[in-house]
Amino acid sequence: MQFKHRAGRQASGTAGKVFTSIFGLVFGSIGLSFAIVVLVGLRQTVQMKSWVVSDCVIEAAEVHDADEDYQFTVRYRYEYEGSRYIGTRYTSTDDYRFESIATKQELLTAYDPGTTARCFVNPDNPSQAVLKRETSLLPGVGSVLFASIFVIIGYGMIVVTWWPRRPPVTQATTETGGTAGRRIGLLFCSVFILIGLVIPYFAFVKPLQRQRAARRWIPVEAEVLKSAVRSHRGDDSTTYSVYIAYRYEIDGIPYEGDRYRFSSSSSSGHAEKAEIVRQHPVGSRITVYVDPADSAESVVQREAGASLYLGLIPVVFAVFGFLFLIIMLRAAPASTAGHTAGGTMTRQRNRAKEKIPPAVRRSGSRVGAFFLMLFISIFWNGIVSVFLMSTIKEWQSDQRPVFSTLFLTPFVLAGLGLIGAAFHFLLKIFSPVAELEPMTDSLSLGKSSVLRFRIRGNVQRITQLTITLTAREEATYSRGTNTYTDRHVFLEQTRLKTMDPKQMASGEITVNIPPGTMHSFEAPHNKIVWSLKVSGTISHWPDLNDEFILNVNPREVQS
Amino acid sequence: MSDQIGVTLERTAYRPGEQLTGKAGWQLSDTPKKAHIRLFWKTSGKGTVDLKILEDRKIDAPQAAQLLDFAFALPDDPYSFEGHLITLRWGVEVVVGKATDCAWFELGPDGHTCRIGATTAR
Repeated sequence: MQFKHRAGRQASGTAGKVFTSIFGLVFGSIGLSFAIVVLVGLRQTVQMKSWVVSDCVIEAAEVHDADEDYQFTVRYRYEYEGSRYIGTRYTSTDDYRFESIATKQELLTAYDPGTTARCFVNPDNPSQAVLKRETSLLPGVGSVLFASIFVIIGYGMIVVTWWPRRPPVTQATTETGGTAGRRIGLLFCSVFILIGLVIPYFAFVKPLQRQRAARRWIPVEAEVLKSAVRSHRGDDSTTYSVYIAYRYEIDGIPYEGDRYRFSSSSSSGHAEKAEIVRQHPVGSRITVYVDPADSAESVVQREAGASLYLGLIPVVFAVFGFLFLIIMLRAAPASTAGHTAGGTMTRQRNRAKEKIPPAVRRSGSRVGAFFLMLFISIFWNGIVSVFLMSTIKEWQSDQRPVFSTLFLTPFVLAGLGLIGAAFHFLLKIFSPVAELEPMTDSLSLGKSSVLRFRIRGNVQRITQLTITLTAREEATYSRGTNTYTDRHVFLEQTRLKTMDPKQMASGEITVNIPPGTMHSFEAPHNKIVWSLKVSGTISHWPDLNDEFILNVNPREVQS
Repeated sequence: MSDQIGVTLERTAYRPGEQLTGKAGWQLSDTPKKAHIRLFWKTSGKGTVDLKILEDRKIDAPQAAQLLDFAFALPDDPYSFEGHLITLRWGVEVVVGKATDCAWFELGPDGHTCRIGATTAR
């Protein structure tokens, strides 16, 4: 036989390769830059491990109110190899800031002026010292590993793009029913379910438990030490939270606290938080609730408020995760692939035991379509309503959020459209229903079959009934993050068209499947679908549009 | 010496259930670690590619140069077809190390690809 040379690379678009390489370069470089920054920090942490422990005397320690947080300044003296030094650093950073008043108490207790504390001195430069050094390498190593994923994917894309190798045809794509896609799908669903359960646990369940436990806490008078609206800058917007620090006494012992509510989440809307702060000026007396079992535990507002229920929103992710999981598990079973040794040539059958579908089955469910649309409508409008309420509140508080109103308008209109669609599907449930009798015989290419139908419900409402045999190609593909399905009908035969209610109520139709065409075929992305469409026109009501999928077998072989 | 590999079929058109026969051979500079002959179908066209390997035969202890006969019992379906959006082709592929070759054939009741492009309305 004549051999063909197969060492060369399969030609593909150079522009695409260049684009992929640029993308990979940027992607990998971002990861590499991040990894380098973390590694520099790690190097400093490792170096500080060799710093020498020494005693020091605290000369001064103060916590200052910064704009929205606290700043710690300290001064201490220490000796190293007979020389005396003055240190002013708490950690490796010059300016140490923190948010919690609990930290303030811890620092002022630990570094009381005149007391002796422990510091760490750089043996190479004894004028450098800190009171606290980072010793754990775990967060840094974790960050480097995380950044490595970006580096490997990014630079790996470049290598794979230009690697001079032609992949086998059977490895150039995903095998039908293969396990790779299934694993990715399972991972995707698991992440969704995990997010949807873990976040509500911490954002809703835990605060709710604490809120219930706090009903037994005792009211105590306290003095406001600090009152401010704290801003938290995110990627897209800034959110705000109320910060109130206070001092109270239990059995003559002073305590300080700064918990306003158990749910510490911040949100948009500055005005209402500013109003709370205005009602709690510095020096004013307020009532706080203290845990009788631990006097250091206190809170201003025991009730979490309506914002607590925002913590339930991520449950939607879990619901979607479960839905996708069920859909995926009900999909076609995966084929098995493996190798068995033995003999010169080992045979391995890869065909999974395939289910034989019924000759006729209904496509879709009206109730299912309604609930799906209802779910989408609730999901969409639930999210939009959060922003809508916030915008309405801003209008009510004499602000004029014109931009956010204009931005929200199309989302609100789409939400109204979804509500309308859900209502349409609800009405459709009560339309007359077409039914086909189950067939005892199978449908095959080149064969004629008789199908019996009947319309359940009020047939008188239907003005015209049409039954059509169709065959179509369905090709599903991805563009970016979206998935599309193109359909092309290659056969269409009208089997019944009538305006007579008696003929509509029930009857028989003959289905002739031409011999020279294609049988039913179903792969994950490509299908040949044979169907009977039953259409009925109904005045002032959603029309009857039922479809029955026919399983058309290959041509029967005469034995 | 550059690597050479090839697969040929006795015929390029088959009916469902028939026996497909052919030859596969290769001549490589190094002894390959593994070799496979695969019977598969694959789609092309508008949709994302679907592929199904029906048989995957592993060649035990493959040589650097080897010529062997193979035979596959063909299934009843799916037929080879060409549509407006989708084309389905059958093939036999030989993969030896990093070298590969593929031979395509048609499977249908008349031994030909079914063409389904036109719309019929009655």
